[in-house]
Amino acid sequence: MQGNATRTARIVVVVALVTVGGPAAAEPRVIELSLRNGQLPEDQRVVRVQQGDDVTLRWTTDRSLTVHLHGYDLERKLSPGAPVLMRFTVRATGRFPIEIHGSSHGDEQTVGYLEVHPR
Amino acid sequence: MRRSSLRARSLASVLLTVALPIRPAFAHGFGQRYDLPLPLWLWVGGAAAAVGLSFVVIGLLIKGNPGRADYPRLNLLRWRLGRLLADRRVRLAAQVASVALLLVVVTASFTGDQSPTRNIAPTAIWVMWWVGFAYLSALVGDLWAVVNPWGAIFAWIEALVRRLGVALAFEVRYPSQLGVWPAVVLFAAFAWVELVYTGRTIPARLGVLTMTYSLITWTGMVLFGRAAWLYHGDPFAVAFGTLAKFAPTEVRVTDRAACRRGGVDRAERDGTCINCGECFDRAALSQRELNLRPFGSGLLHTRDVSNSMVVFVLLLLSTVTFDGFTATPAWSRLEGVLFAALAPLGGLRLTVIGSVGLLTSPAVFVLVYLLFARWMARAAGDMLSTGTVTRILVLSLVPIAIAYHLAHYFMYLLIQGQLMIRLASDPFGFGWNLFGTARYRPDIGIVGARFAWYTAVIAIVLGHIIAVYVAHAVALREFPDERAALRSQIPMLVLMVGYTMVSLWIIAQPIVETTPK
Repeated sequence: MQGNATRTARIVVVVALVTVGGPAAAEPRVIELSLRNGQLPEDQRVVRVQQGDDVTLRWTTDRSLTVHLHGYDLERKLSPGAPVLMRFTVRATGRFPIEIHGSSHGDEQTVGYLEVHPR
Repeated sequence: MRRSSLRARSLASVLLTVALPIRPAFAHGFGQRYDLPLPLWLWVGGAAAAVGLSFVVIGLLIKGNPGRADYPRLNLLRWRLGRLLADRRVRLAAQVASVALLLVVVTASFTGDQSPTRNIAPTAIWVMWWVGFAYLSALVGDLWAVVNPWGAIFAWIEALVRRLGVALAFEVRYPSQLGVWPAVVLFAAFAWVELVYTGRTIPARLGVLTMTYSLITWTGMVLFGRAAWLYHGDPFAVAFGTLAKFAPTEVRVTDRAACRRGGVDRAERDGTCINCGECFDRAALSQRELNLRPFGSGLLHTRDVSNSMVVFVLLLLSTVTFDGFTATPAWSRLEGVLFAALAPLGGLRLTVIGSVGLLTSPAVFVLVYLLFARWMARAAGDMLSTGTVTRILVLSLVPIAIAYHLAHYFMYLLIQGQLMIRLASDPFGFGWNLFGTARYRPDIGIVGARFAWYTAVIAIVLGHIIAVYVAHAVALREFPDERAALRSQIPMLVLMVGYTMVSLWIIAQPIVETTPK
């Protein structure tokens, strides 16, 4: 369960991210995603971008696992220390789950979503 | 607790060994969904349009009461193309293709690769057949009645043994008080498989379920005869038939005798019968029609709606809504709470929660509808009993369900449906490439979110308007007094607006596959 306050806070953060960090088309955008114990912090669970953006997801983690972005079907192995980049141009709109696997549980978990909004 | 991980556990071993272009999360019947939730302004706009246009429709109806007049029809059999469509040989060709497809799917389910996206069975069953045929039934016509492979196989064998002088069916007279209750029970079981059962994406399990369904269907047909079983007992014939009442085509027979054989009386008030394939085959050429008609007009025929049919329709509507609801954050939170509270049940928890939810949704639909029917009857001065009101107006809710269904599955069908391009070349997952499309990758950007949003909102608003029209037209026809009919429609309008709002609300929710901790 999450309170309304945290949800509102999250929306505010996301909106701020989009308005402050939302550049003109095709300008590269770097989004930090830091997994801790196989989870993303509250304010990184929904990544909102605009169609046509040049996006780089910069992944860091505290343990070895694999991240998989559905739809765009990008997969990267992550390990503690070195950040891993997922760079792509967001062409298709939609809400795409981001999953991790190979964690200590040994199965798949949705850790967040990439939302690509139409221009 | 993570829901997708628990759901996926049984499949993990299968999935992790195979590199898949799309790794499904099994949130619904089958396959991944990428829908963007409807933005607030579009939600508000759609809702306002639904309410505003309702009053426009009512105003027009009050001015031009259609009364008992039938709807406009255009008989396609006047043209050669129409006659070709209704030709026995064309139907036979379609049936042969459909039976062949069923054989491929069943064979693949048992002998093919057991990964859900490498075997044709899950996509063919959940995407192409269940979602696809619902679209076809609602938007084209009762095609399932034509190509139903179980019906076709039975009819062929029946014709064959009749030549040997043996009757295949016992033709036990179907007990009319049973109504469509067998179809209600079987449909509930099917809905459970679609929305709760975790093995629904595993090809071999689908194969076993298909065989079980075949056994039930053919037993029913042997006992009561093919036509009687399809009409009362077969959940898919009844479901697709109900959706097809909305469709812009109908098959009509204007021969009372042909409509009233084999223990089933299909005749309407005027002695004609609609969408009865058997009757069509019995009737003389001059008494057959293949008509174009306005959308939704088939729902004006309420003569054969029994209490069991009311429950069937509400069950059909509620499972579609429940499917959408289980992907919302609200359900996810509820599930999270129940999951923690039901700890003693262990690994069965998600199945138990899903089953209870699935049973609760039609119960809520029936209860709410009965309360509103009581209110409608009272508003009309109890000129008709609550039971009668229940039966004559239930079909008018169908357009809202169809519109929601179209909106809800639009992107799903467009994206998941593309898997068929690949699977057609390699249905068993053996590494074949029959048509050179085995390496096809679904295009997730086939249409944009904006297009999907507008399609969804327009479909829901149009469905709502047609529903309001149908309910008013039926009320004006059935109530002895016009003012009473119109008064009865105030509660109905409240119900319909509420139902439409729920549909829009679900589409405006982000699809969630996890349960927050």
